[in-house]
Amino acid sequence: MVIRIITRKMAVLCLLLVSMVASASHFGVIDVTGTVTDATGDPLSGVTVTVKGTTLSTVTDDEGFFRINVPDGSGVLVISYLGYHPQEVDVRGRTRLVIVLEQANSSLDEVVVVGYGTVKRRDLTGAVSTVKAEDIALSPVMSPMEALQGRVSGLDIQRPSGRAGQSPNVLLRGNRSLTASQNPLYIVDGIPMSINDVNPNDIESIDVLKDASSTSIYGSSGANGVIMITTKKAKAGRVTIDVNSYLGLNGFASFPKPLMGEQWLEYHRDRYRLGNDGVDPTNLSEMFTPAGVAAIEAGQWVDWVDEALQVGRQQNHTLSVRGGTEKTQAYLSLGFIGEKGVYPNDNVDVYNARGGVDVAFSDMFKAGFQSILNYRVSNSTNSRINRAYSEYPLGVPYDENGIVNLFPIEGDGSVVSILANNYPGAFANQGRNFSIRFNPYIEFRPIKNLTWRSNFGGSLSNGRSGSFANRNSYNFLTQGETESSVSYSQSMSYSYLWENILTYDVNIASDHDVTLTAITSWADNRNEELFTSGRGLDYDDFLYYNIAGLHILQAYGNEYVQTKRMSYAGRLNYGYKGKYLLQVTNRWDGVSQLAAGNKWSSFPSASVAWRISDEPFMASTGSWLSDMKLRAGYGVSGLASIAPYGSLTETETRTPTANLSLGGTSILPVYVPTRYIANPNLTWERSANTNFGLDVFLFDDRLDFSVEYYRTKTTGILWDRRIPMSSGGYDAKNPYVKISNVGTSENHGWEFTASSRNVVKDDFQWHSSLTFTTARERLVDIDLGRLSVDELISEGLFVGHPVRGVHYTWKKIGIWQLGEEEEAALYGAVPGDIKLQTVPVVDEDGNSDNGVHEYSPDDRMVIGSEVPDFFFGLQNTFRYKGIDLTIFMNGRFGQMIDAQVLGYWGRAAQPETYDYWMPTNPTNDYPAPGSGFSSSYEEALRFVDASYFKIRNITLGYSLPQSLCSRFGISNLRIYGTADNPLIFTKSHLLRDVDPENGGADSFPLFKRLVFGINFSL
Amino acid sequence: MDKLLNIGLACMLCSVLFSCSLDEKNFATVSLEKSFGERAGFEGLINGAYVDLYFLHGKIDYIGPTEAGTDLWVNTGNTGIGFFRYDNRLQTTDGNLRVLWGSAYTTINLCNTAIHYAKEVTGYDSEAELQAKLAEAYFLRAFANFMLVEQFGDVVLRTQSAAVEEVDNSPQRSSEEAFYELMISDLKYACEHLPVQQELRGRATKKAAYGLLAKVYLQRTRLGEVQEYAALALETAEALIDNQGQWGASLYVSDDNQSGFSKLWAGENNKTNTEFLLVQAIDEVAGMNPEFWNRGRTRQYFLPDLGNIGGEWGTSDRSIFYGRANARMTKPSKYLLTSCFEPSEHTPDTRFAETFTYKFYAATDKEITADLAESYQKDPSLVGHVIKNTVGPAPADASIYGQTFEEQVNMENDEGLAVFTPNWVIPAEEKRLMPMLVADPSDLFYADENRYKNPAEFPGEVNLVNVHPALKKFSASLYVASNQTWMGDMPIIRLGDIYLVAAEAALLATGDADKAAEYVNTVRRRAAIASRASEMEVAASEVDIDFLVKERARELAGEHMRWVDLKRMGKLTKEYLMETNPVSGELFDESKHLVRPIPQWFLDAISNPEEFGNNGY
Repeated sequence: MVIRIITRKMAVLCLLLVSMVASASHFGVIDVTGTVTDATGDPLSGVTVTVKGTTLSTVTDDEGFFRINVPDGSGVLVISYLGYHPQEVDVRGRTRLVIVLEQANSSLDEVVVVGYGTVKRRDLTGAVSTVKAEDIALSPVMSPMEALQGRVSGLDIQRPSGRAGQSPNVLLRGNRSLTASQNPLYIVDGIPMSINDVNPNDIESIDVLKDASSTSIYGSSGANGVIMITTKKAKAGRVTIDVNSYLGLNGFASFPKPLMGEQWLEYHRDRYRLGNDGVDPTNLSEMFTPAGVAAIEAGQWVDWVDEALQVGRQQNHTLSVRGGTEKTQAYLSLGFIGEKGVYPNDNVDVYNARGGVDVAFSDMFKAGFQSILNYRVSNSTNSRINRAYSEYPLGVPYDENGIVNLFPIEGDGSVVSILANNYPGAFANQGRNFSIRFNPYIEFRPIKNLTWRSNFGGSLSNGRSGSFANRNSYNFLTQGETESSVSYSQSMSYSYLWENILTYDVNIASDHDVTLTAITSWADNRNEELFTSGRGLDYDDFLYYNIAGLHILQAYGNEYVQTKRMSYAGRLNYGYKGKYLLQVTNRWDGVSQLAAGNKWSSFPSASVAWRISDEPFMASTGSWLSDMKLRAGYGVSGLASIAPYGSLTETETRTPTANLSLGGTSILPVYVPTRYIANPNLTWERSANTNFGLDVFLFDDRLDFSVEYYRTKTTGILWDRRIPMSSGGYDAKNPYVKISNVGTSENHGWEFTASSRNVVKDDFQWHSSLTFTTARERLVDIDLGRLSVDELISEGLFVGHPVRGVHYTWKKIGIWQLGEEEEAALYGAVPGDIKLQTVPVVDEDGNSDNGVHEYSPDDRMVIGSEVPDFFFGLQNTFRYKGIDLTIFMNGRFGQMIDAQVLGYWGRAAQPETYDYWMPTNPTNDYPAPGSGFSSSYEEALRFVDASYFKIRNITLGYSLPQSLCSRFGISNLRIYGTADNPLIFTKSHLLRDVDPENGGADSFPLFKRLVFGINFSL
Repeated sequence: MDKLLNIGLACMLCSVLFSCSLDEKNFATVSLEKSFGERAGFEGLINGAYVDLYFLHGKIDYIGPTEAGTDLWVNTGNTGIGFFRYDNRLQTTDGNLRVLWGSAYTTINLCNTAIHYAKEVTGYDSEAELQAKLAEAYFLRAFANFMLVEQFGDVVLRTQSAAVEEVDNSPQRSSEEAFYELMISDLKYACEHLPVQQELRGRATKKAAYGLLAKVYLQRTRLGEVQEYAALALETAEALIDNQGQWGASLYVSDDNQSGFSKLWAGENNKTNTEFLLVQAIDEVAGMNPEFWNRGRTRQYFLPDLGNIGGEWGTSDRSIFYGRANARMTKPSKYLLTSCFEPSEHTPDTRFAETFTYKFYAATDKEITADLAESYQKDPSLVGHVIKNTVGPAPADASIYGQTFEEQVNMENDEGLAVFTPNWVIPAEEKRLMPMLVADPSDLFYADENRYKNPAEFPGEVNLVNVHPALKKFSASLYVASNQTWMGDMPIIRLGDIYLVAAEAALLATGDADKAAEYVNTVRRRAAIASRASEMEVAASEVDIDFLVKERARELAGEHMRWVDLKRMGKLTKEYLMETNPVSGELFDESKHLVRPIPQWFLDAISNPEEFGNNGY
C-alpha cells in the first residue's frame, strides 16, 4: 500500500515535469542580472534561479550575483534556495533585479540530535524521527514515552496496565531477541539514564534513532534503537518563565461487569438444568449456599467490579525559569506529578528538579553541568478485581460506618470481600525512591575546528519498599492466617560514565565538509540490595518500620551486582556540496558480563545520502519540490543485556530462601550452584541492519513525507535456555538456565511518515500528520549446537514464526451444537463443549486419522501472535484564531492476545458479556455453563484477535490573543481540556468492554481520562 | 598553550585506555571448586539436596500420584480427578506430576554434584567422616530415583552433574532394572556409612537407609527374580528389626488405656517419634522450613463437607482444628471403611479410630429446628435440642499456639457432637433419634457395590455422600498453625511398614507364613489396647498376599504408599480395582496406567520428544 502511494506521487511528479517542459516557448531573449540576499542583506551563494516553465537555470556566485537569459523578456524567474521560501519574480522587461529571500522555518533546518553530536535534518544519512515538545505535552502522561504512542513510525508503544505510574512497553522495529530486554537505550542530553527520571514538561524534543547506521555508534547497547531526549535549556539574552499545569480525572475503566440480578439467577438456573437433565431447580437452595439465598432474598445485589474501582486523579505542575547572558546561561525547573489510579491505595507522586549552568570562560574553554533530582513515592495494592467473577454478586460491601465488611455475605464466613485490603490498617505496600544525577562537562576548543568535550555522568539512587498485611487483608482472611506479615527492602545503585569526544570539522575547498569524531567511553554500574521479611507483630502500628519487633524474621539477604563497559568509537562524516553525504562509523565495545575471551566486539556502519533535489537537472522542480533525499545505510549493532554473571556457574547461598533446618534450632547453610549453567562461548548478539529511506518536501514544505524500508538480521540471539529437568533444576519448580547464543531472526518493515499543512491562513490552520508501520519478524533458526529443532514449546519458540509472543495452544473453532452429538463424541465432547481444531495423527503406515480423535495436548498449535500486521497514528490539528483542536487516533491491527478477561467462563458470576451456549442458544462464543469438559481446553477461550482502533486523545485549547498578552505583560497563556483514551473500537465482539491495548490483562484495567490544564509563559 | 593542551589531551585518553579492566566481580558467590572443594560448601550442597523433599509430603502434589486411583479413595470434586478416574484428565500437562519430576531430578542432580566433588573435598579428618556425610547424598539420590522409577518407569537415569558436566538436551531412557541397580548400590553405601544417629532428626540415618533398601528390594520383585530380591528384602528388613534398639527405633507399646498405634500418631510423640525412620522435619517455632509456614496441608484435602451440610449442624469449614474444608479432594472408599477396617464399634483394632476423624464437634451452639429435623428426617422430639459449642481456648499441652478451637468444652457425653460418621451401620430408627448428623456406610454407599451412592437414584434420602470420615494421620491439635497448615513432622518411612515388608518378603522368598505371621502379629498387637492385644492375632494360615494387601491398608492408609504397593503386589489391575473401587477401575488400562504421563513441560524442552515418548498418554 505504501508502495502504491509512492508510485502515485511519482506519477504526478512526472506529469508535472513533462507539462513544464512542453509549455516552454522561445521568442525574443533578454539578459537579466541580479543579486540575491537574505533579509539582513548578506549575499546568498548557490541560489538556483530558473526561468519558469523552462529548463533555463543558473546559480548565484559568492557575491550572490547571477546572470540569465530570459526568452521574450517577459518571463518569470523562480528563485529557490534551501532553507528559504522560493520566490517568483516577473521580469517585465527589467534587466537588473535585487531579490531578498525570506528564510523558511523549514524542518530541514532543525537540528537533530544523533549519537555524540547533532546534525541538521538536511544532512542526515540515517533513519531518525523527531517528536517535538508540543506533541508530548498533548497527552497527560507520567512517562514521556506514552506520549509517543503512534507518533513515530516503527515505534510500537503499548500500556501494559492501568496501574498508577506504569511505564509503557516500548518496542522499536519489532522483536529481534528472545530473552534479552527489548528496551531502547535512552540518552538524555548525552547521558544514558532512565526515562522515568524525566518530567515530560522538561522535554524540548525526542529523536528516535532507528537504523543501525545511526545506532551502531552506541555499539553494544544500540540494537534496540536509541531514543535521544533533549531537555529545555536556557537561551542567551532572554529570560523565560513557564508554568504548565493540569488536573485530570481517571476513571471509566474498561472492564466487563459480572452477572447480576435476574440475569445471574438465570445463569445458575441454566447451570442447574444442564447438570440435572433439564430439570428446573425447585428452590434457590439447590443452587446457592444458605447465606447466599438469604442475601438474594434480601436483595443485596453488589457489582463488585464497580465497588472495587474508583475515579482517580492525575495532576502535573511544572515551573521553569530559563535565561542568561551570552557567556552564561542557567535554567531551573521544578515539577510535581501526582497520579491516583482507579483503585484506592494505588497512587504515585513524583517530585523532580532539574537545573544546569553553562559558562563560556573564553573562546577556547566552556564548562557546565546539569543536575537532575527525582523523588518518587508510590503506594500500590493487590488487585482482586478478577475475584469479582468468582464470588456471588451479593452482600453488603460496607457497614454503617462506611468501613469495608470483611465478610460481606452475612452468615458465610468463607466469602472474603475483594475489598478487604481497603479495610483500615489491613494492607500497605509502599515504595520510595530518589535519584540524583550530576552531569558536568568541559569543552575545549584548542584550535580552530577542533573540539574536545569530556562528559561525566554520575548517578546515585536509592529505593526502599515496604509491605505490610495483617489478619484483615484479603490473603490472610482467605487462608485463616493471623500473624501480620512484613517485608522491607532497600537498594542502592551507583554508577558513573565518563566519555571523551574529540571532533574535528573542516571545510575543504568550500565543497567538501569533513567531520571526524573520536570517542572513548567507560561505564561502571553497581547495585546493592538488602531485603528482609518476617511475620508476627504485637502492634500493627509498627507497619514495616520495626523489623526488630517481628516475632520471626523469615527471609533476609543481600545482593551485589556490577557491570562494566569500555568502548572506543570513531566516525567520519563527509559531505560534498551538501548533496552527497557519507557517514562511516565503528565502535569497539567490551563488556564484563560476557565470557572471558568473548568480551570484545566491533560494530561498523556506513551510510550515504543523495540530495537529488540539489542536482541541476532537478532545478525546474524547485517551485514545488523543496527537497528530496535518498538514503541508504548498513550497520551492525549489538546486545549483551544478559544477567550479570550469567556466563558463569558459581556457588551461591540459598540459606535464607531454602530456609532448611531439618528440625534443628537454626537455619542450615545451603550452598548450591547458581541458576546459570556456565557457557564459556557466550558472546554478543549482533544485528545487521540495512535501511533505505526517502525524504520528500513538497509545495514550499507544505507537505513532507518519509518512507523507510529496513531489513535486519540478528544472529547469535541470546537465550536463557531452560535446560531439560532431567539434568536437574535449581529447585523442583525452576529449571537451570544456560544463556546461549542460539538463534537467528529476521525483521523487515516499511515505515511511512507524513505531515502536511492542509490549510494555512492567518485565521485558520489545519495540520495533519500520519505515521504508518507494517513490519514482519521471523525466527529463522534455533541452533542448539548438536541439535536443531523447529519448536521448543516450553520456551514459546517456533521457527518461521515471530520471535516473541507466539501463542501455542488449542484453537477454538466454535462450540459443539445440538445435532452434532455423534461427531462430537469422536472428540470426547458433547454439545455445549468447546470445539477445537485438531492436528491429524499419522501412524507408521502413513494413514492419517484426519484429526478425528479425542482432544489431547498434541492438538495444540501455533494459533497467532502478539505481533500486529500494522499500526498507525493520525493527528489532525485545527487552529482558528486562538482556538486549537487536536484529534489524535491510533490503531493496531492483526495481533492476537491472551486475554485473561475472557477466561472466567464457568465462574460463580462470569462476566455479563459472555454469551454462553444453551440448547436454546446455539452460540459459538462460550460453552455451556457447568460443562464437565477438561479444564485444560478452557484456555482456548482466552485467545482473540485484538485489532483495535481508538481515539487516543482529543484536546481543545484556547490561547489569549497576543494583543491581550502583551497588555498583561505575558508572552503566552493557553487553557485546554483533553479527553484521553475516550473511544475504543475493537474488531472482535468478544472484547466488548475491554481495552485490548494491555493484552486483556485482568488486574489493572486501562481507563479514560479527562484533563484540564493551563500553559503560561512570562 | 596549544601544545600543552594537546599533550594533556593525549595523556588523558591514554589513561582511559589503560586504566580499565572488564573482570567480573561478584561478592555474593564463590566458584564451584572453591565452595564444594571445602567441607563447609560441600555439606551445604548436601543440605541443599534435602530441600526438594519438602515439595512432596504435606503438599497436594503428592496425594494424587500416590493415593488416588487405588482401592482406598474416591474423589470428592474435580481436584486431581485424572488420578482417581484414569480418564483423559490424567494428562502430560498435570501440575502434580511436574512437581514430582522436578523434585526428583533436582535432588538427583545435587547429589550427583556432591558425589563428583567428594573426590576432591578437603577438611575431613578421616575418610570415614567424609563417607558418613557423602552417604546422605547416596541415600537421597536413591530416594529420588525410587519415586521416579515407580511413578514414571524407565525414564532418564542420571549420574552426572549438570553443573560440572554436559547438559543433556536429548535424553535417553534407561531400563527400570538399571534404576534398581543404581538405587541398590547407593543404598548399600548409605547403609554402611550413614551414622546411627544424626544431630538433626531430618537427616538420613542408618535406620532410614535399611528401611528404604528393604522397600527397594521388595519393590524390585515386580521386575522378576522374585525370590532373590525378596530374600534380600527380608534380610535387610530383619537387620533393621533386629537392630532397632541400637539404631534408635522401636514400635510404640500398647498399654491398658491406649494402643501403640494411637501413641504413634499422638501429637506429643510427633517430633520424637520412635517409629519414624525418615521424616520431613518441621520447625513449628520459627517456621524454619522450606516455604516457611506453608507446610502440612495434606489434611485439608481429605475433609468432608463441614461448611454447607455440617454447617447446618454446627461445624465450621474454616476450622483451625480440623482444617479448612473448602479444598476437598478425596474421601475413603467403601472398601477401605468396611472391608479393610472391621465395620464395628467394638473392634479391638484401634486403627480406624486413629486413622480417621469420624466425630466432628460443633463450633457454635446449634439448636435443632423443626425445619432442620424435617429436612434431615430426624425425629420431631429432637426439635429444640441444642448441640453445644465446643470451641474454647486450648490448653498449652494441646496447642502450642494458644489458639481457640473445637473439642475443648462441652465434650461430656458428646454434648457438642455435630457430625458423626462411623464406619459401622447404625439402625435407621436409632439414627432418627440421635441429636446430630449421622452418616454411616448405609447412608454413603450402595449396599451391594463398592461405590458411593448416586443421590439422584435416592430421591427420598438426604444426600450425605460428602459426609464421611477424614484422614487425621497428619493432624493433631498440637502443631495446628492455621486452618490450612499443620506444623508436625511428616513421616516418610516408618518401622511398622518395615515389619509388613518383612512379612511380605518372607512369603515371597520362601513362603514362610509363620515368619510372616510373626511380623504381622507384632504390628497388629500394638494396634489394640494391651488387654485386647491377643484378639488381634492371626494364624499363619490366614497370612497370604491378599491378607497383606488389606493389612497394609489398615496400617498405612493415607501414607503416600498405596499406589506403589498395589503396583508391586500385582493389584494395580482393572479386575482388582473393579472389585474394590470401581470408580478407579472403570477406565483403568493395565497397558498404560502403570506409569504416569511424562510431564509436558519436560517434553517441550527436549529435542527428541517423539523418540522419548510420553508413556502412552
